Amino acid sequence: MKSFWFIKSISSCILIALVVSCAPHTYKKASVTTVYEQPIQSYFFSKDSVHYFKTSIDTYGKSLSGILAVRRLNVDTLKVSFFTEVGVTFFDAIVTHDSYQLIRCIPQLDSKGVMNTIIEDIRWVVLFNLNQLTDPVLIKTSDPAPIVRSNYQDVFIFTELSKDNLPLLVTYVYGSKFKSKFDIRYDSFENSIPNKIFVRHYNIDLKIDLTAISFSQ
Amino acid sequence: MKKYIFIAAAVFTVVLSSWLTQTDPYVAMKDVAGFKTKLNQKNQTITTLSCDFVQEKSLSFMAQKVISKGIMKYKKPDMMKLEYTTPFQYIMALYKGKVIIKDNGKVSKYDSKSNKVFKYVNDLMIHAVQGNVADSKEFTIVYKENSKTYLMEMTPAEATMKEYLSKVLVTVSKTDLGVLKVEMTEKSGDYTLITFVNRVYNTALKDEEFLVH
Repeated sequence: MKSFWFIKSISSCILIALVVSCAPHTYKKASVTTVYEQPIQSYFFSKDSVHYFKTSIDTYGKSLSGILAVRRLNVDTLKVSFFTEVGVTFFDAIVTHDSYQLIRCIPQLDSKGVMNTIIEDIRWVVLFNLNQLTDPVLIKTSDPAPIVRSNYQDVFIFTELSKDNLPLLVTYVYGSKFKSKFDIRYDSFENSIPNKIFVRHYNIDLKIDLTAISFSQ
Repeated sequence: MKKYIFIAAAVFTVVLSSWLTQTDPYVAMKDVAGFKTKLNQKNQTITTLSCDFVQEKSLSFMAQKVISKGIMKYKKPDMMKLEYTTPFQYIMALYKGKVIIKDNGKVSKYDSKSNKVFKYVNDLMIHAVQGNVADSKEFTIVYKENSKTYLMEMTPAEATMKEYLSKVLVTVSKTDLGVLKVEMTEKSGDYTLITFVNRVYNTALKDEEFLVH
């Protein structure tokens, strides 16, 4: 009987742990305080027009790695190129805030679902859509870093900010349950520039790790 | 992903049998048979090779060129290691029928005989290692030369390779018959140029140096 109680307790603990770990990431209980009036800053394109990232993509047990190059043509347009370390191109694309055009793409990546996701992630990684955010409000939190909720199309973007108003964590939140679709974490700062960027998706098995690199010319 | 790794491996492997530069105009090679013979003889004398490489990738779409650098090692009959050191760390090794990649601290291994692409590239590698690239059936080759170098203009004959590469140029030194550079051009016209420098032949290299942990 004693051992039955013990097994039952252990099972309950495991079950609770599973439920907690499987609970969807949600901002449903986040309550807003005041309008946030300071503009959110960006790490990218102020000094350099092109940024390069050593990039690895892991999805459902498969991996892809290469170099991601992102050039800002103007405030509304990016050129994006992704190629292997050895130099074979995966895809080239022209990206705007709400659309993109594939200039070329290997057959294995050339599907709407795959490319929509990759392009959307790239837009947020380089904070290309910051000027598309509206109605920023401060979230009530015990965390010293301010968290700002902004509207973007029909979703919310939650941004945890540094004291310089630079994003530390960007979370894309959708639906009435305020579920996180993905988040982007900026890390390993050097001269206030993130050397590492981590993208994590919650509704699909997809993670992207980027390391900033600089090519000598 | 495996396909691209093996295409990359194939291109690099082509390198192992010859070497060059492109200064004066190229004309049709006068003695192709003699060149092949010399190349085979040269390759038979090679047991190991170590060198540095500089890789220049043109990005016409981005109006940029990017340069990376690294170290290459080769040991007969079937070991090769490419180690990118600047501006990123990345290792691709061919080790006794396996392809081993180390990227971002993670090691992945592939069997080079596990599918058609693997086998194709593996065969190409064996030809290259044995000095038979010039007789490769996977490429049609036009032979040229100028005063200092030989040039093999290699056009892929195999459909998979054709999807990615339109041409591979291998430049071979007339002085020592070593491969000086390899340029692979994609269908878009973008190219990757790899130049080999500080070549050292036949130094002792242990098998363990080609393993990746």
